[in-house]
Amino acid sequence: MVKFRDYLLIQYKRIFKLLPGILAMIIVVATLLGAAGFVVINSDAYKAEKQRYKLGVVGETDNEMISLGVNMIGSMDDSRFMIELIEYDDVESAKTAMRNADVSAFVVITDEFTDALNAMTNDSKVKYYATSGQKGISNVMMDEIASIATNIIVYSETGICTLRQIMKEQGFSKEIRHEKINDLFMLYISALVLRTNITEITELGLSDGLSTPAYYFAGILLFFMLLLSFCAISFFLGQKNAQYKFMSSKGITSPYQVMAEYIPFLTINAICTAVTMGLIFAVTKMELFTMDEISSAPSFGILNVSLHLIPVCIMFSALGFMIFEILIGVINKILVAFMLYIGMGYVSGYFYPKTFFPAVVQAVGAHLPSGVAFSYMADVLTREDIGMHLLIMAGYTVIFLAVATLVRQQKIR
Amino acid sequence: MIEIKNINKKYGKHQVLHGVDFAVEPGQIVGILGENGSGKSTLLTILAGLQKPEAGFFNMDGKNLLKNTKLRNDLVAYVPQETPLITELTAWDNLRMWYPTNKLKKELKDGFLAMLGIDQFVKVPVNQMSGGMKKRLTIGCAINSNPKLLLLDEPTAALDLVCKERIYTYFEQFKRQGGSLVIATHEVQEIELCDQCYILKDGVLSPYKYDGDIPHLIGRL
Repeated sequence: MVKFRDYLLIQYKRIFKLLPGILAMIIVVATLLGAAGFVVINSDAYKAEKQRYKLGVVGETDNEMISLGVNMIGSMDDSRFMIELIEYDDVESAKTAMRNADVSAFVVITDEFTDALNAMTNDSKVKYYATSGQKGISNVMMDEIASIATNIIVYSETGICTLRQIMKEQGFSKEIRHEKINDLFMLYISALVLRTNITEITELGLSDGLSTPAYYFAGILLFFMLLLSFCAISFFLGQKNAQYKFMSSKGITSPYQVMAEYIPFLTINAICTAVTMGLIFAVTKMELFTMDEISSAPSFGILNVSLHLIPVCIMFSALGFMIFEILIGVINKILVAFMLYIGMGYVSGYFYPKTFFPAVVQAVGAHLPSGVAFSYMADVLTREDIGMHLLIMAGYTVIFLAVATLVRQQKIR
Repeated sequence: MIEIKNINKKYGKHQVLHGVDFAVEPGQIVGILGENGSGKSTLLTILAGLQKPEAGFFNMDGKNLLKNTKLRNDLVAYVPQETPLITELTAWDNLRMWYPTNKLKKELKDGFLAMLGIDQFVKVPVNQMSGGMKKRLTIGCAINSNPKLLLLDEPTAALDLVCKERIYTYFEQFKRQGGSLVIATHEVQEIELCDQCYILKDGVLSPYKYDGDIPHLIGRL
């Protein structure tokens, strides 16, 4: 074990010699990811309360009933916070606007719709147009918005038309009819305004029960931790098979070699993660960034999250070590590691909510080391039981180091 | 007395070593000659314990070193063909891994390390060293345990004459102190240093008496 200790110490010495280069890479990566995170969190798209999806309306909006409904949606209903209605004279103009991304979708109110409204039938005559392609968050939102718009227009206006028709048939005068219809308008408006009170909207966030800020925090932080091992790639470049053989001939066999190299590598990654968490702590103290998951529980701070990152750091460092042990050549190491990390991060939902992936991809992403780390972080942030994910990460770490040891053994032979 | 008997080694279906036998007396240099890929390095790595043979014995003074790892690590030193040094660090850092500080200082002052001339570049980082400096430093690291057998894989390939001479001087000194050397080589100067030579061809090791006739040697390889 004396030789192991000496080899460990010399690897520490080696990695600290390489530290300036490693730090330079980490600063570049952290700056890029930090800037990306800042842009995401401060973007208009992120600020849901300020985001309104633009919905085109084409057709018979001159009709007093329809214009009333459209105005109600645009000015009184809660959906006004999500929808901005833009009127178009014809379908072609609306299509052009949609192609130019001026609107996310549009609704065509056909003559048949107006007729159906007047005839008090519930025929589906409103046509809804949306872009095809990937089922993204915009499409999901637009489906919902179209549903809201259709329900409001159809049911509120059908009620009003019904009242007008019945009163007309019963021989009420025009003045009385207008008065009663106005009363009904007010009732509808009151009912719609009440929706604010009768509906409690809870933001569940994008995935894993996390709020949106916590989701992006976890995703970006974990991706940064993946890239940390990539930043320390210089640690793996100077070594050659002759060195492994020589060490082995002196009694430092492959398991000892791997452990003596892995521990300093892990130390550097852990230090860099700690420094990053310190910066995040400073940012949260200045209230430039907050998360409900942390701000709602004063005893559960960034320090607590940082301590829980240690198992992730251990696993990601082992993963990085294994990848760099397997791959040969600088370009290979850099390219393959980067592509692998991007791919793993993507399918594990680091950049895009994984709920939008097909079930199979979701399952694969969840079981990848990156996915397990994400679920673990979600458990940590939501104060759920972390035991199972911790166990899986420990298993992954052992597997990665075992594979690295086998590869090293092969290199020695 | 070092005895190597019936060493067999296969890579897949390819028989690299076939019943290799030879013996080395204390104070002897044995040269292993052969074409590139003939199995010289494989033989040395087996003796260094980096690979396991399918069959065979490697005995030193009656003890089987193939089965006694600790003893082999103490008695046998291996110098690979390429540089096994940690290139970011200095000669001192590399040596310090293998020598206690006091012993290292003493060796650098008047020991084998001084004989190899390592004291002259002890503060130089390995990545700024010449090939000769690296080779001498590698030998210096390898001999920390005062081994009885030194295995060297093409130790002076691509080195300048002065550096070669320095290393040969060290070999002579090592011999005088009762150490044995097994050298895989293509260098005529090294062959001339050897007390016994063997040619490894098609996995079979055959004795060869070098008499300065290089064309004859080439014909045998």
